[in-house]
Amino acid sequence: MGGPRLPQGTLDLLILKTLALAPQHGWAVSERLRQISADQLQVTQGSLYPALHRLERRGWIKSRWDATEHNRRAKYYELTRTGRKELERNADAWRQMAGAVGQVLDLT
Amino acid sequence: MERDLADELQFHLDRLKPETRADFGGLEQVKEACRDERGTGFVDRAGQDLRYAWRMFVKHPGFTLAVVGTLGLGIGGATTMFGVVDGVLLKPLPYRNADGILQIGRVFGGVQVSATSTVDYEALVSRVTSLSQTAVARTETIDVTGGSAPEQLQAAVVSASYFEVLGVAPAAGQLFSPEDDRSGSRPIVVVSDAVWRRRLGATVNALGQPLLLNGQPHIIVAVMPRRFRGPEALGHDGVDLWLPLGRLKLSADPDDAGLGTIAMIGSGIESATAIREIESVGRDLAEGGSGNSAAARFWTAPLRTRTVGSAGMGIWMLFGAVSLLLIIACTNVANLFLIRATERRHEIAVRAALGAGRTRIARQLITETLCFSLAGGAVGAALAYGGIALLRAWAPIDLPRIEELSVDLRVLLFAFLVASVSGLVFGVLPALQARRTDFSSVLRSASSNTTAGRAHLRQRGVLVVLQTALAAMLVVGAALLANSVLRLANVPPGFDPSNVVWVDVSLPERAYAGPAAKVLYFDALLERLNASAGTGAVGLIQGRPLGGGNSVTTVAPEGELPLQGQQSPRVPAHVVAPGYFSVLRIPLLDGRDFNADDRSTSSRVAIVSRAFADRFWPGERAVGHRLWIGRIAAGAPSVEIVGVVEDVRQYRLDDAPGPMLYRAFSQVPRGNATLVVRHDGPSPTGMIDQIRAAAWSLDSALPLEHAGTMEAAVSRSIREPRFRAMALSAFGIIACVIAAVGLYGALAWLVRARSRELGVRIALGANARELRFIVMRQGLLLAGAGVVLGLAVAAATAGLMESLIFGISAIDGPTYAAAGAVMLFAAFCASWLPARRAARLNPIAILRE
Repeated sequence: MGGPRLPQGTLDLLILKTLALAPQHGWAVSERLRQISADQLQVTQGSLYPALHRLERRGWIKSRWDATEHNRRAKYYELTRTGRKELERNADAWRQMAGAVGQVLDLT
Repeated sequence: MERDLADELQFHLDRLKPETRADFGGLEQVKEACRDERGTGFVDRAGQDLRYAWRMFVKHPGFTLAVVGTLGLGIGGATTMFGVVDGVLLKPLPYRNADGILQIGRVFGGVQVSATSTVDYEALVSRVTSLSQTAVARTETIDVTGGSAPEQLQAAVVSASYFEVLGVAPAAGQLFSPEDDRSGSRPIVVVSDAVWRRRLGATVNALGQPLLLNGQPHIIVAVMPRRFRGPEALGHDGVDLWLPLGRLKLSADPDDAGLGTIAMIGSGIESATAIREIESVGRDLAEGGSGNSAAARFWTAPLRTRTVGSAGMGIWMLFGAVSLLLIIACTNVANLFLIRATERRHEIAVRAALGAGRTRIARQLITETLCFSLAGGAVGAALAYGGIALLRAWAPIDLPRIEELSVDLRVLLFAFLVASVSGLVFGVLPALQARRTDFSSVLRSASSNTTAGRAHLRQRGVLVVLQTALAAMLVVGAALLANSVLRLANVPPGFDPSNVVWVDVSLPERAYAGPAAKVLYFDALLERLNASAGTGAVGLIQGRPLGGGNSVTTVAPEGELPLQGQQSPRVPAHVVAPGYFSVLRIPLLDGRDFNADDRSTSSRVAIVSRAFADRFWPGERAVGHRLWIGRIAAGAPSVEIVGVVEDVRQYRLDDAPGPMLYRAFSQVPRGNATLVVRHDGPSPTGMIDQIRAAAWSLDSALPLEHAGTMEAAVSRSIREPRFRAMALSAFGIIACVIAAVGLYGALAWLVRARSRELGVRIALGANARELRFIVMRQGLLLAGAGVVLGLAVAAATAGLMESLIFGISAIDGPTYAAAGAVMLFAAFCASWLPARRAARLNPIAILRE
């Protein structure tokens, strides 16, 4: 597992954001995260898939089976409307918190 | 679902570069984590468990049948008996506020009578504040004519408060009002639902129509609801008509106790308070009363207790026995599950290795056993339907409230609870075992057929001892009851019932008013019967043996008048015509029978039983003494004793005979009496028809339904103890068989488990007999321990059986010894086959394994 250890809520947030950009399957999500964060974030399957299933149970994402460009069968996830709202709410909260933490840490 | 998950993860796996594949880290754990996250885990997992359990059901039909069958029988029996316990003993009576209803009666000289007098009634109403309502009733037999076929129906003449105490409203019409309690009230009647359907065509216009009762028209003012039945304790359960109190000519005698009395306790008042107040009012009345009623008191009891009476003991005993049988059945089933679990150790260990947590496995095992048990419970509930229906139709014992027995929600709940609890218990044992097992060692062991550990053998041993102990208890109980019944059947009743038939004759009051008419009829009938072919001796009695129907009266021997403040003793009295004693071959010990010279105009005579003579004139001849019967009015003539007869067990075979008084029919004629005829022909029914024909030839309108043979009456009086003995014997036999099978199974297992050791023994020169001995000894030790335990518990709880047995004590040495011997013999038989097999073991084959 590479990169900083992500608390569970953070991982959920990242997944939601990734899926907000476009519906993808699990592998694509992990690759996208790696790319965007310039290899900082590498999510293992052990965390990713349980997270995806959790989010689906909560109703924030939904899944369907579809064919990839190579005609293989894969499970695609996409955001639901509830999920989109959650994403906005949580993202705002996260930025607020990150700002606050940063401020504290910047104190000399 | 599972496949989706596998495919999804496989897809990811394929994309990984080969070197990172090792990082994947436990594909199964990931799967499990995903499954966990799904959160609907419980329902999904339960579904999985159920599917798994279903597979078990189908793949092993023998096991399924054994478990579901055994449990079904056990639960079925227990549920049926619970239905009886609930319906008779636990459920409140079907009246509003039934637990607040009391029955009240008088006590005369220590004897309780189920009635009070008018004076008592008035005192209860006016002076007992804890009672909100008091009601009285008297039963009558009424001839109903006009319209449909004439019939004789039971009627209850009741005060208006009767319906209030019972809290019942009519299905139609209006019930009595307090004016109807006053004498000279209007001729009205309330009918039952059955009468409304049968005689009145179930029409709406029935109200207001007249019904001819004893020839007098009575207007129908109300119809009772379908399910309503009068209180059994008052004898109203067969009542179809209700009449207002005003129609009775009530006596002012404070001791003429002829009114059945019930009362409702005021709301918020405790029954103990009400009972105390009633008794104290009774004592007040006694002190202020005339000589005869001095020291008379009231007895009070909740109506339910009076209804159930003495049936409780027998019912609880049967319920206890059936429960024991259920426990025995359950130990068998528990054993089956344990064996199963042991055989599946390998499979369970594999599942554990694949990541199933111990709790998960435990949960699955429990789900399985629950399924089996609930299936058994369903079978049991179905059997209980049949059982209750059978009881209601067959009614082998005189159950009070038998009409109320049904498989209702409470009974079904019982079955469900028993099934669930047993299912949980059965599951817990193997689940606990699974928890403790070291799975890796199980997987490592090469053989998949398991050799039992010591713990397992101990478990089986304990179960066998338990089964044997319970079976021994049932067998002892059965033996005691059977012994009882034999003694009861052999008790000499004091009369000879063989070849005697009886027919009840009821002369309707309006056609035979006055003593002369009754005497005329019966004299003519007796004459006609005496002249008939085939009749040996002919007699008449009011209150035939084992039939009830007699009266109870006070007696005061001459020269021994009761002092002020004392009660005259009460004895049962029967009215007989001359010749009765010779019909039943009751020996005449002294003096003479009644004869034609004893007329209504001649001096009053009476015959007494031996116990009576011994009680009042010990050591002397009773003949020639005089006494007063009933209330002593000034100047009333006393009655002369003219004969003494042998004692008769008139009421119950297990009651020692007490003093009895016989009066001459010609002097105190009754409208209801029983003809008894000794015949020499082969056909009792033919004789009964002959008697009926003779009776009808004199009056064709007489109802003559009730008839039978004396032998049947005697045998019917031991019907209940005989049924109980048979039921318990059946349970005992079943229990014995189950215990024997359990012992056989355990010993067979033991032989297999110790096959190595036995093989070595054979190789070292042990002969067949020694080997058989080893196994037999083990078997008899186990069984012996169980028998000793069972007999000890039975002896300790012997007091519970006391009221059900006759003639022997509840701890009867020979009976216990016999029961123990039976069990040990069964154990001997059960041990025989495994012992033989042990002796036949091939040591070479065993040692090679």
